[in-house]
Amino acid sequence: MKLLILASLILSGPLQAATTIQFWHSMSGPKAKVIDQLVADFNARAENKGKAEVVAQYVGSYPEGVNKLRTALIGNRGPHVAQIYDIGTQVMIDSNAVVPLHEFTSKDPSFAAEQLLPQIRRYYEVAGKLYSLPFATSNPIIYYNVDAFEKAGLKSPPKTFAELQMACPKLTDAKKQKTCITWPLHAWFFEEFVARQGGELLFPANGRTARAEKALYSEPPGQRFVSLWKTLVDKGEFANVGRGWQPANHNFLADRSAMMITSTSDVFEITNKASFRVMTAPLFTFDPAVPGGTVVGGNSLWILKRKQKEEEQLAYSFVRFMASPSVQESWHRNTGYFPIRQDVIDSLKAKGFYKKYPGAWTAIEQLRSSAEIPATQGALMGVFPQAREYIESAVEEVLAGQKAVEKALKDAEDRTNKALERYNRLKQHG
Amino acid sequence: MRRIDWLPWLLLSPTVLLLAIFVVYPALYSIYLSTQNVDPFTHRTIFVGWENYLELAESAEYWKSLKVSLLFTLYTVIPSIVVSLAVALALNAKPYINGFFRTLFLMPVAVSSAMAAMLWIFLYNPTAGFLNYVLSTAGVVGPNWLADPTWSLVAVAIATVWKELGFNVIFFLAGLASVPPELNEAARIDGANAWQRFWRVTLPMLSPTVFFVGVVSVIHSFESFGQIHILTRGGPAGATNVLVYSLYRDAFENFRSGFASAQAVILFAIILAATFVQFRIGQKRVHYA
Repeated sequence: MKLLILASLILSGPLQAATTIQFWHSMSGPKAKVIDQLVADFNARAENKGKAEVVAQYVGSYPEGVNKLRTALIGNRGPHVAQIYDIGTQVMIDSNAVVPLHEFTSKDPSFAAEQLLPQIRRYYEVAGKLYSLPFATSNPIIYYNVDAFEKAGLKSPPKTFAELQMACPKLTDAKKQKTCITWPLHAWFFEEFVARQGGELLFPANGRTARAEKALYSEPPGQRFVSLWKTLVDKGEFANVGRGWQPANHNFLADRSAMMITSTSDVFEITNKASFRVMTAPLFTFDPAVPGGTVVGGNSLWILKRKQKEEEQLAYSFVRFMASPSVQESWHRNTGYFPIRQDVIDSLKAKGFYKKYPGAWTAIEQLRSSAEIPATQGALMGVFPQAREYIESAVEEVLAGQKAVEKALKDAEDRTNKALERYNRLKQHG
Repeated sequence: MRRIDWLPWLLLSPTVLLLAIFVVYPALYSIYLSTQNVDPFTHRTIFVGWENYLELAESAEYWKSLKVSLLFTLYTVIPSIVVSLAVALALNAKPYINGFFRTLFLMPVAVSSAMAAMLWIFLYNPTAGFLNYVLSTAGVVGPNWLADPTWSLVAVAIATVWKELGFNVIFFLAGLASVPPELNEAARIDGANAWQRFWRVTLPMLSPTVFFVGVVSVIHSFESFGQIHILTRGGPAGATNVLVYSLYRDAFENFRSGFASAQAVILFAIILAATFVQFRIGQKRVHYA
């Protein structure tokens, strides 16, 4: 009898112990709390009890996260699921360490791929295959100070570069202590404004049909945007707050700039913190008649290869959970990143959510109205962080008057081309 | 036959072992990696010989980084030594306020460098920052501290000096305490004024401390990272892209381990050379009592 109990204990032991699923993410502050809650919800579900237990771990900023993953993979100590930023897509595909998401979804009829917004899905689909699950998706939008606009006699934010230049003198004070507009000095805005004008960042077809070979920064869309930026700075209408995301927010919230362009993921935070009325608007463009749009930003969830196939399957069940309508709704409401699913957007709209928070609707509408062309599908390259540094340096050289727009962008192209060539050469050896 | 005395070796072994594992091995591995091209994820390596070093030699950005690093050393080490020595002399002259102010000056050292940098971001904001507000009350239009290439390195240097001042003050206070008071008294009786006493008596007696603080500060300045990462990320237009930051970016953002290792080897050589030169000068100028 005693032996039997012992035997049953030994046998039931491994069955009862849940498999730990490591989930690495880069969400900090209030967003990390939302992640922890979602993970707790997953672990509490009846079908996962005793089977899978997800452990979420913050691994630093996006680049730090990729870097930690890279190091962990040497010792086979990587997580099951990793949250990676948009521009890490190509290196992740090339890493040889991931299981493409479509290998799971193609066998899982319950995964409603058709519910994913096409503008979001297209970014993470490479050669027709969905590699990872878009999770936190964002767009840059204009935030504007409604009170400042009313004081200046303006009704709505500018829709074109020309309208912006008309409006800015009215929103800037004589001492240049209050400026018209600001945004962080970040290459993301360059990329988005190029796409907004229908321009591609890389040849061929933004790196979507084949590996990217050449950068196209100095084409007219890029030059037009940087020239506009320079003009605004020279006239004292743009608050150049430098690199990093916080200074622009700080500037806008301190009522020092009437407009700010930044990620939609800050929409609830900024609206709540501001001591004035805040509204949002889609990005302005050069010529509204030219089809263009915005590229989805943010991050996606990747499933990493494991020795045990069952663990991969459990990782997938967690990823599928993160794509479910209830999770997507709560993620959107609590962070400002928008939902990846059409049905969630429809149901929130039916409930009147966007009447209450019109600021949150802007980014969704902006993305949905983007033309479906390679320009808005987003660029793919394995050297994206370097390319961004080159673009940022080019912009800084222009703003400081060290180089002309075309020269600076051409130099950034050269540097990117060299990096692309090196990367592609390394990949050919594989 | 001579017997080997094992005891010293035994006592030294923990240190030697730890240094070998955490310092010597990584350093040698860096030298090896600097001759390779490394795949970001699979870590497969291709031997490339001198290619990484050649790329550095041909890179205008890297030469600029070198210049920025030297300027940064100049902007931080000299002000830091001068100001902290002045503060230490002032504190030493009025011992009854010493405790309170010493704590005050040491406080920035205790703040984490990330937190300190965040504070400076707020202070440096061109239109909403406190610094430019103070300047504007005096009728001065403050510069765009962090986003203007002519000011950004100075801005980062100010934040660095502020952060590390207290550390140096403590050393100088300790150094001043060991200067025998009768030397100054004797000089005073001989009719030396305060300036002469400082220049002829105190400073020579303090020279070992000045030398030590100098060497440590130079090494520190070459290794400065945290404040640059948060304040400027090497920008604008490479104006604060010191050697360490360029290395960090290539290793941990661009995933070019081989190229970054070549930079690490060069940085190692520079710091070694700087320390060597300082010791050669030090032998001639430093007076050990």
